[in-house]
Parts: sequence; C-alpha cells; structure tokens
Amino acid sequence: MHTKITIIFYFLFLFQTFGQTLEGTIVDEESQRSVPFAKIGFPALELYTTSDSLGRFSFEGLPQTNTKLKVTAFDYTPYLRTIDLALTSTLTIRLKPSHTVFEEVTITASEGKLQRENITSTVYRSKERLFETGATNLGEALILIPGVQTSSVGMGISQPVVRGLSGMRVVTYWNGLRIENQQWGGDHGMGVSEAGLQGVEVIKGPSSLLYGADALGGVLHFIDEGYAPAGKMTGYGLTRFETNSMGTTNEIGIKLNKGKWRANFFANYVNHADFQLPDGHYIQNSRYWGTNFKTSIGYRYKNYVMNIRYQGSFNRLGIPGHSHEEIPEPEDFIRSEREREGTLPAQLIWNNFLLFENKLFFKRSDLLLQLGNTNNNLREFEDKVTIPFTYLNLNNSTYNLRYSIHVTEKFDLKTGVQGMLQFSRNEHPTQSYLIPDANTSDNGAYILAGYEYKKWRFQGGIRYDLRYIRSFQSAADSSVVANINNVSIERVYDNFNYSLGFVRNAENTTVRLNASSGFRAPHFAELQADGYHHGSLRYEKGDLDLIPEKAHQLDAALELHFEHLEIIFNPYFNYIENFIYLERLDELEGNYPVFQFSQAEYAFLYGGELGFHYHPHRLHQLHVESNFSLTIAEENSGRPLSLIPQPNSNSRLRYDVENKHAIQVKSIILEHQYFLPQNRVGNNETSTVDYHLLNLTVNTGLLKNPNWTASLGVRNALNTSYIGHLSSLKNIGLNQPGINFFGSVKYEFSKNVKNK
Amino acid sequence: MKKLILILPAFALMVVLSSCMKCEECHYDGPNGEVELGELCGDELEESEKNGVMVGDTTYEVHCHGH
Repeated sequence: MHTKITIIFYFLFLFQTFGQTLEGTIVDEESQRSVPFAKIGFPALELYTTSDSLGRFSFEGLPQTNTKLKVTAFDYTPYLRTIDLALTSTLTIRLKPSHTVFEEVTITASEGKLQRENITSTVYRSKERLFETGATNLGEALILIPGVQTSSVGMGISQPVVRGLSGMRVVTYWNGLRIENQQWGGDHGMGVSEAGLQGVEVIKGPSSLLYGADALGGVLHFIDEGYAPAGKMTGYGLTRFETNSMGTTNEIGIKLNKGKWRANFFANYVNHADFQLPDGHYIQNSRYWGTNFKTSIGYRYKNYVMNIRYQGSFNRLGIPGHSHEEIPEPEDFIRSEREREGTLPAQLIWNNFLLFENKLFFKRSDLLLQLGNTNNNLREFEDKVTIPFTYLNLNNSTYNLRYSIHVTEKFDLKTGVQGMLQFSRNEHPTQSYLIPDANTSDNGAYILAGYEYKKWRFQGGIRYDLRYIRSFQSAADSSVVANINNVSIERVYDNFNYSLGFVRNAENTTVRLNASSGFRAPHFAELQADGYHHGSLRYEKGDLDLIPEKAHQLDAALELHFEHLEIIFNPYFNYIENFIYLERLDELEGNYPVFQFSQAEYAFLYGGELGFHYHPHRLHQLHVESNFSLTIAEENSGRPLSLIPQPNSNSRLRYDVENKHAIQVKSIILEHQYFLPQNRVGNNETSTVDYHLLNLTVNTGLLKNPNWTASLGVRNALNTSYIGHLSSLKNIGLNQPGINFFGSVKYEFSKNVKNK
Repeated sequence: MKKLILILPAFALMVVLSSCMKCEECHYDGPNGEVELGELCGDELEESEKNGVMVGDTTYEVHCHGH
C-alpha cells in the first residue's frame, strides 16, 4: 500500500528543476505564411512574448509542466492549447484566419478557456474595448457588457448589477483577491480603479462554487495588465479631457521584465467638476476626484511563480441630491454655475488591497496559494466638516489554496479551500452607526471535475461553506446608535452548493447548459438597520428574522459561428429562495422615503442576452455588432421586484480606416444604446420611460508615429434628457448628464533592457 | 532604472498623503436667524462642530459648510 501511495505522489508532484526552452514559429493555417507580431504566452505563468517579423518566438527557463499556451493576433482566431513543456521544445503554431472575433480569451474563471469552451456564462471585455467610446468611468463602461448594468448616485458612485442582482449579491474580485468594500450600501461604489486594468471578466449567475458565498448574481473579476515581455521595459502616459464635467484623467504606467523579476506600476488622477444637464444647468455636488496607485512585483524561477500586488486608492465623492428642504424639488439640486471645490455631503474612501500569490507547477498539476488583505475606510460627511455622519472600517483577510491536476489528458480535477476573516468597525468620531461593529468568518471547501469526450466537455462540482457572524452591542451614546437596532447577535450558517453542466463545441455551433447554485447569509445592514442612510437617500429598516437566500440557476446558450456572422443566444432562469428585498413603504421619515428589508418565500429572475456580430465579406473594414439584454423579476406573489434594469440594447458600427495622413484616422465607431421603458416596478416604485443615447468616436494615430494615438468623440450626442431606472436621483426627478465631448492622447514606448 | 522604481512609488505616496489644515466658514441658527461665526480652522473648527456654540444659556449647533 505504501509503495502505491509513494508512486502516486511521485507522479503527482514530479517536477524537474531544469529550465525548459521552447521555440517555434507561428504561421497562417491557410497560406502557410509566417504571422509576425503575434502575442504568445502562458497565462498561468504570466509570461508573454511577441513573434518577430518572421513569426518566430522563443522562451527560456520554463517549468516542465502541462500548461495552456495562448496566441492572439489581429484577424486570427485566438489559439489556446494545453502543451506538455517536458516533451515539447519546438513548436509550429497554425493560426486560423478569422474576420469575426466575437469572443475573447478568458484567463481566470475557467483556467484559460475560450468563451465558447466555458461551462458557465462568462464574458470578458478588455479595458480598451470598454472605454473605446469614451465612457467617463468604469460604471459607465460596464453597461456595454450584455446582462450588466450599474446603479448610480450621480456620476462618481456606481455599483454593478448583473442580471438584475446587485450589492451583496455580486462579488467583486481583483486579480484573484475578493474585494469587500461595504457593498451593502446602495451608494458604495466598486473600489476598483481602471488604472492599469487589462479587462474585466463577468461570470453571470450563481458562482458560489469557485467564488464563495454571496455570489448569487455573479462575479466581476477585474484583471490588471500582465507584465512586459522578457527583457523589455514598456510604458505609457495618457491624458483625457471631457467637456460635460470639465473632467480630466491622467494616467501613467511602467512595466519592467528583467531576468527572474517583473514589476508593474500604474497611477492615475481623476477630477470632475459638477456635471452638466441637457438644459445647460449643473447637478450640485456631483463633483468628484480620486487618485489610485497600483503595483505588481513578480518573481519566476523554474517551477515557482510569485506575485505581490497592491492597490491603494483615495476618492472624494460628492453625493448629489442632498437637501435640507422638507419637500425637495429638482430645482433644489440644480445650479446655474459649475463648481469643483469639495463640499458636503461627500464620501472620503481609502481602499488598500494587498495580495500575495504563490504558484508551484508540477509535472501534471499545480498548486496555488493566495493570501490577501483588503481594507476599506469609509467616511461619509453629511452636515459637519470634521465629524463624519458615519465612519466605517472594514478589514478583510482572505486565503485561497487550490490544487489542480490533469489526471489524464481528458480528465482534470480542482480542489481547494477558501475563506476570509472580516472585522467591521465603526470608527470615531462619528455621528451615527449605520451597521453595528461585527466579525464575520467564512470557510469553504470544494471539488470540481472536468471531462472531455470528443466535442463534449462536462464539468461538475460541489462545495461546502460555513459562515459565522457576530455583531456587538455598542455602549456609544444613544444618539450615535439611533440608526441601528443596537443588540448583539451571533449566527452560524452553512450550505452545500453545486455546479453541473456541459458544452458541446462543433465547427459552427456551440451548445451549453449549466445548473449552479449559490447562497447568501443576510448582512448586518439587512438585519439591524433602523435609520437614515443619507448616501442612498433612504430611511432603511432591517429585520432580525431574515434567513439566508439560496439561488439555483439554469443557464443555456446557443452560439452559431459562421465565417462572417456570429450569433449568441443566452437565456437563463434564476430561482432564489428566501429572497431579501428592499420594499418601499408608503411613508416618509423626514425627507426620506422609508424602505423595509423584507423576505419573499421565493423570487425568480429570468431573461437572457441575445447578440450578433456581422462582418460583411465585401466590406472588410466594417463591423456591425448588437446585443440585447432582458431581465424579468418577480416574487412569489407575482409582484415585480424593485430596481430591476430596463431591457436594453447596445449596437455599434465600427469602420476601420487605412490611410497615411499625419493625423491618421484608424477607426470610426458609432454606438447606439437604447433603454426600453421599465413598467414592471415594485411597490411604490415609479416606472421609467425609454430613451436613446448616441455616442461617436474617432480613433487616430498621430504624426505617423506608432507611439502616439488619440481619440476624439462625443457621448450623448443628441443631448437627450433621461433618467435611468437605477439612478438614485430618479426619486427627485434629476436628469443624467447631457452631451459630452471628449478627447484623449496616449503615448506608449517600449525598449530593451539587459535581461540578466 | 532602480531610481525610477523608488521615485515613482514615493511620488505617488506624496501626492496621496499630502494634506492641509481645514478651514471653513461657520454659522449657527440663532433665535433671530443665521449668525455668522466667520472662518474657523483646525481644532477650533472641530471643537465648534462637536460642542456647538454657547450663547447665554443656550447651546446652538454650528454648521460649517456652504451648501
């Protein structure tokens, strides 16, 4: 028996300490011509290079392991294969020409699979694509992703909404680190900066299996830019200006890859004055500014990869829609002159994220250990400049240990443990507690298996989670704890979750079906709130008797891939037991509407996304894309749920231009967003009328120098007056920003460094 | 290059951590209307917001921002 175990462990953990070399050529599958300047690399090792003018590439010091090789090049289908580096030292890669690249290579949730190979509904969008049409911030950019919307308080504060669910039901990750930043508050934003961002991956629907409790609506995984190619230093500077808010964004990034060490630095500064309405007036106190700094330091030696990542950010966000009037009118919040200087009420937020990541690669397996810490320091000033109305600190420490093995070529297995320890404290001085001091601990264990059979791929897994929560009664002055139910509670919740599905990939069709579950324990804000929350312009009442929600989603997809046309249809049905929701009561406390946390026996959300990408053969420079998203949500009595996004479509025409002028127009993009009316509204919620938004962008090169690029454009080109259904300013009849001209200039450089 | 690696984070930290003494125009709402207190700074500002202003036997809450 001992001998068998020894043999098994020998094969499991067998790894060589010799660095492996890989070299090869990338060629066009049809013409057999070399493909120059293709990006080739190993996502798991975060190691990339670029093929030379003859399509040649080489790597040194690679571990002898099975890992994914990813190749991307313009006008080719992304190439993604698992290769055994112990057996492969030369390689010829044949890329398939493609005019329509509807999907992008995802690199995390499903371990580097193409979108069509994923069992779950996963969409990846690069930062470049998200901001291509001049979105002011991440919140505005994310709504381009089918099934994703954002709720907002003015322009500075936005929260993601995935298939109708938001707040605590959507979990945010940053490079594998779970971000906790008081998401329970409707006015608490995402906490992630676009500086140095590579892209965002959205996993729609319950995703508790790999991402832990709470992810009933989905997961947003923000991924920063990878390291520079070996022996290179690259960098960029970007400046951007927009007229609506006289807003500026300035960003720099430097990446260095030298020998075994790699490092990235990114920083930005964003500043917006009050936003202008379509009628020319301004929204009082919609101004905001913030600065962000990110760094990653990586080390790679043979079969070991280490990354340390840090993000520090400070933001001062004005909270518009604030009034001391008994019955507020839109005019109370509108000014004839624009201001930039900080005033109250406002949020001052410090976020610090730190991640220490270790990967060990063995012959057929790898081991990942991530240790992280996030600290969110939130001060919300209401009527005093030195004493915050509320002052919260949330400290969260996380661990993630995962072992992945290719048991056979067709069968892979992942197992791991994950957890977090959270301390939520009210800091002083403060005028009011909105939630009690509390501790939370989470621990979970999971196993996930995948099997491939010809065109089929099956995946299934289970997970067990245990959550412990405890809040503390406060001895603070009664006026300070007037907005909470000041009692101590202690609860333990546990739950099993599952995920099971398949995908079948034929040449022209992809069919996918997945069932998954998730659970979410009620948050202290839902259990113990009992007072004003100025940030979200509500009086909120909690309920100590709330029990955990459990979600079960069935997600299907049919994708058709033709040479010049791709069509995706992705319906879903999400059933949530014990659904907790904010119900607007027919009463006011002071100026604020009263909302009660209530629990329905069940709720269901259903709908889907439909999209196509057409690229006419006779007009190669033209791309026509469109998608439509719909969510219908109601509780067991048949009553619609509140705050469900309007059905919406995003359509765009992109025309790529080739010319040699000094100002070289590269592409012209016309984008049309249509938000249908939302008449399915919750109790005391008002309906929303439809509106169209039109955006236009021209991307150019400058001075015939490939290092310089520029972008000019206009958002809301028709100066449409509109109020989004998920805008907190809707209650007081405040419009969203009017026409916005923008322009940006970017300079990029790359140089060789000694690689020793 | 080593200098750059040191200078960049130091510069970012300097920008983030830089701050200045806070001063604000303050007033209180007396029995005959708003009474200006002028510009208060630092500890005086904090003290006034925390404890209010005493006029005779009455303590009035002090408001220190222009909205």
